[in-house]
Amino acid sequence: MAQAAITTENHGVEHHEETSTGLGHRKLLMWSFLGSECMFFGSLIATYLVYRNQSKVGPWPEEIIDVPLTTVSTFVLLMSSLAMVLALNYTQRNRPNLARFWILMPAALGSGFLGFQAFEFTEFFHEGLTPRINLFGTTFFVLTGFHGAHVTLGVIWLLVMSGTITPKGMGAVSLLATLLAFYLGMVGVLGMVDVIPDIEGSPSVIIFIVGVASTVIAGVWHFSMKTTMSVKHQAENLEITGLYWHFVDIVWIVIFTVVYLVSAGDGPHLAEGLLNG
Amino acid sequence: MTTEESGTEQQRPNFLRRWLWHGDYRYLVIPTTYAEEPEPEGESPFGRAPATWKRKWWDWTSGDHSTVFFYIVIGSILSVITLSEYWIFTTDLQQVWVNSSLFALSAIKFFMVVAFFMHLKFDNKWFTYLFGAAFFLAIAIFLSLLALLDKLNG
Repeated sequence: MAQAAITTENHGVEHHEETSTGLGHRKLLMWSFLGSECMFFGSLIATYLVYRNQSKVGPWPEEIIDVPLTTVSTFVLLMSSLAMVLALNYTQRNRPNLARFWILMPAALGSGFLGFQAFEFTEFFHEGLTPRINLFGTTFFVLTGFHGAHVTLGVIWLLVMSGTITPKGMGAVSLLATLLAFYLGMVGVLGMVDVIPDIEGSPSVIIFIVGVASTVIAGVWHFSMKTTMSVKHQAENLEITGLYWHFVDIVWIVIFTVVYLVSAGDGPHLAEGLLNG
Repeated sequence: MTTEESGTEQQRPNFLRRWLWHGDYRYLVIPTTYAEEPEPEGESPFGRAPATWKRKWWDWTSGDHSTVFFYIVIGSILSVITLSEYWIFTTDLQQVWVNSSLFALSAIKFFMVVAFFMHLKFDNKWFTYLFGAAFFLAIAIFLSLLALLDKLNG
């Protein structure tokens, strides 16, 4: 019987899980799921393309799409993929301290990407683009909204995984403190770009500064606690998480090209031409 | 090929064979010309660099998981491609050239992430077949939907 490439560690003894196919069942399941996700996002992108330039009223993409901003957010998501693969690499090599650091990076960068998306959606809303206003709004928000939901799920999954490779006790407390401080800083950023209103008595810039300072302090505390715990047994779990995270990245690679770069020049002149022709 | 070159033990050939056999180190030895000799290693305008880089690439990309340096190289290439996409977007080229370049670069990024970051290049081939089949099915659904909805819209 073939042996799967996956291993589990039990009381320091490493043994191989045997499967009838020779492939890890959970990894096979994840690849099958990602295949079905390809069809899901393929359908959404096809719908966007079919209804491209079919809107009868504005706002039009050429009026509101901010390509430089989205290029930066695309870069952030790409770098989160790099951080993810480094986290997996260090986990497979059983380097717990480096793995603990790098597993938080894709979660932080993914949160940053979501911040960009929240800012963009708010700006579009202020410009008058809503899911109901025209076909562009409907297809745009459905496509990018579903992608954002996938990123949100990925961030939560990564945070759970970071907990599994953190030593219990003070390690868990410092991890929680670091995360809370980081998200406090994110709240400050969202407030400063007017995505959320200022909290009365505490302007967003103050929240941001407190968040950054406490993230640094809690982060230094967390990562100064060295551990010798084995993390290699989490390698397969982290690999499955990574597959999902990289998939989210490749979907955005396509969305960035189709929705932003190619469609950024779409406007009433194209729509009228199509409608009249 | 001589016995020395092949590196395998062979039976000693008989007299007739030794006498007539062309190229063997026996009675009718025809001197080896330079054209018949293998290319000396590193004899190219770039010296040994292509062979060295080929070997390094093999070292980086083979095995269960690759090196940190390799992943940073892939991440840098992806970043450069993203910047190039933005640069192409800002140029005044014809729209057809801009769009086709953007789709080509997007496809390169897609396959680089799938192959290297998602480890399909290093992993069991059945994962590649599974994802490849689903991907082509997704493309088929994508094209069918384009055609169908386009027809319905008139």
